[in-house]
Amino acid sequence: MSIEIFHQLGFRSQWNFQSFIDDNVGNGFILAPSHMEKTEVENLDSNLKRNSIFDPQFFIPSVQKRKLATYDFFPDIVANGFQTSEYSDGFSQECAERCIIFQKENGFEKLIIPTRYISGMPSSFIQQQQQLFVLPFVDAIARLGKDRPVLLQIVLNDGMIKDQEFSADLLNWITGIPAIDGVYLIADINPRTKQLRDIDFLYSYLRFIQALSLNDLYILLGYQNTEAALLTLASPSAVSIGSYENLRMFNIRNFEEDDNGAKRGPNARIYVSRLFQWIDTNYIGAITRVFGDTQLFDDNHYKAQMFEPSYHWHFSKPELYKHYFLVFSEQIRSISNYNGIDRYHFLRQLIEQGMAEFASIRDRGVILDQDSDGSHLPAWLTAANLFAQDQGWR
Amino acid sequence: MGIADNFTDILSLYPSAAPIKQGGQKAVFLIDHQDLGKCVLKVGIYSRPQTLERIVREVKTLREIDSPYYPKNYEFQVLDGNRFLIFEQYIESIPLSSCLQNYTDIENALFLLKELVLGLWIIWNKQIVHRDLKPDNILIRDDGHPVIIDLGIARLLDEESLTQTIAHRGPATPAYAAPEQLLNRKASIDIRTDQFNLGIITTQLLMGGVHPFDPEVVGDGENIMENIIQGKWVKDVFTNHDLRLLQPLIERLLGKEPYMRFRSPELLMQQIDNCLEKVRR
Repeated sequence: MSIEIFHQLGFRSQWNFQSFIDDNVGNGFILAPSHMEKTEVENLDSNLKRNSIFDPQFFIPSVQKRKLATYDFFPDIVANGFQTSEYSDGFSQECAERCIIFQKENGFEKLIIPTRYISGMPSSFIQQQQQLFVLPFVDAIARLGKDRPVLLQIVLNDGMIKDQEFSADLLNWITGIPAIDGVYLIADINPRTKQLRDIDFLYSYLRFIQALSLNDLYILLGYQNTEAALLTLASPSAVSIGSYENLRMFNIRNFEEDDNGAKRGPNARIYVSRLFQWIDTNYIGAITRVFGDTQLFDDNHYKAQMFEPSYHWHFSKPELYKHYFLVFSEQIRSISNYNGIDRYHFLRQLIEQGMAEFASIRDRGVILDQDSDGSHLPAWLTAANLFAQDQGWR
Repeated sequence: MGIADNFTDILSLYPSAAPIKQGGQKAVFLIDHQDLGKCVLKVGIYSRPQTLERIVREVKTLREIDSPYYPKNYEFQVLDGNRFLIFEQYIESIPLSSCLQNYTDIENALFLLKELVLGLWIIWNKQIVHRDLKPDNILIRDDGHPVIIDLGIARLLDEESLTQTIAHRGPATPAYAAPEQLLNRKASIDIRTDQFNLGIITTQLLMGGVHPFDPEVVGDGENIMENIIQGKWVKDVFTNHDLRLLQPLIERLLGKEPYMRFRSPELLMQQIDNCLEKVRR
């Protein structure tokens, strides 16, 4: 079964639009009000919106962010100046109604029931989400007419996913909501390394996704980095791709008050599909020298541009990300050509080849730093093997 | 002194009243009513307002349902002394518990399961969970079609649950209860709870009356309830020849957690139809 790819939009979303139009990458977009004012969304080409979903980003309902404030359904706006740190029942009905009207009027492919961010593992988690989001939004959708699929957004931290009882309760709750057709799932696992290497988390997340999938729900995995390739084992319906790191890993700090302070830019990185890793461009010269060519790096027209001697590598250059969109979407497509046990065997082979490539790089004297090395792959392979064992695939 | 002794004033009006069932708080009689003809008289005593409320709900539900899968409710009266009475349609039938052996054939068992799901679908659509499905609560008409009775502990999910939080176990018959009922995890009880009950009944039919969680056949566990909670049942039976094709269906019905069962009646029905098709091939 093919897996859809959605561009997770944020800063510099024009790169994603260009990638979609020029390179035919992705099936659609996840629009982000924290980065796009209301009029900008309204004026967007309806063809682009038809293939997109709109994430209302209610993560911190009382937050004051300039762009969010342009939406009349955002909780802080509906509260109308009341000093409230709580998103209460009183506001939730109104927010839900306005938010659904906005999503419908803009012709988005699916309707999203948003969520608030909750840290820790409170026993009231389900009750809060049900009361403040599910019920008012389901009511609003029923009132306004359900004419397209509905996805429930959920942000889960690693504790929630790893704890068997908590995750079983979550699954019972989610799969017991008749009005939804799917889930827009986001994992909050900060602080973390650039690549996920927590075996317990990866294994538990695979099981969680699969349980949803077995219930015939559409599953969109948001804020995905390259681990999306591993998670395809659990048969999600769609995964996201994003440019900057904050679009490839969810971090609630990015949704707090606007911060205009200067930030240090990250190192430029290039994605290498054979390694399932973003390599610091500082290593490109060394790798090219010891291998005698640039074959390790995936070929496409962006590579041709980037490997011109005059090219100035910088994290804010679009080619790095457009190259990634093209390469990674192709990688996901090739994996999704297989199903079940065949997908596992194919992915296992790719991961093992990646590990061998890393070993070869090291053998030739290139010592990659911990953000570029292959230390995540043994963890991925272990999680994949555990999952495969459960399925009777090994 | 039985519960019926509190109703001598009522029963004296129906000299031919024949007892069908007597429980702690309720007695059921077959009577000849002057207007309704042959019908069922249920009398009972409630001790708490919540119990009365539950009975009122049962009656309300039955009145809303006009289906051959449920008996029709004719009349409900609250009497003095915390007493109540109900007149209900009498249906010529025998309880499933008395004819389990008629359903050891796979096609018959599947046909009955399909009928029960069609019947339950009506209350599931109303967000009502039966919560006490068992062979005693399923009547088989002469034409083979089932009738589902005793919605007394069903609850409207939209309403606040009446079950006391401190109760160790929710209202259900333990040997047919789902794990979430036995563990009184009220938030997890929904239409998929009835699916678990159906899973036990279907497996029991296919095994000629043997309970699939019985420690004697499982070869492990202290009692049926513990085995239900632990998810220990005779899975091996479904790895054998003919029954193998039912394995995906039964394994999902008997899923330890509700999310392991069927999310919707449509999906369940699809699976039953698939099995029926394979059996008939």
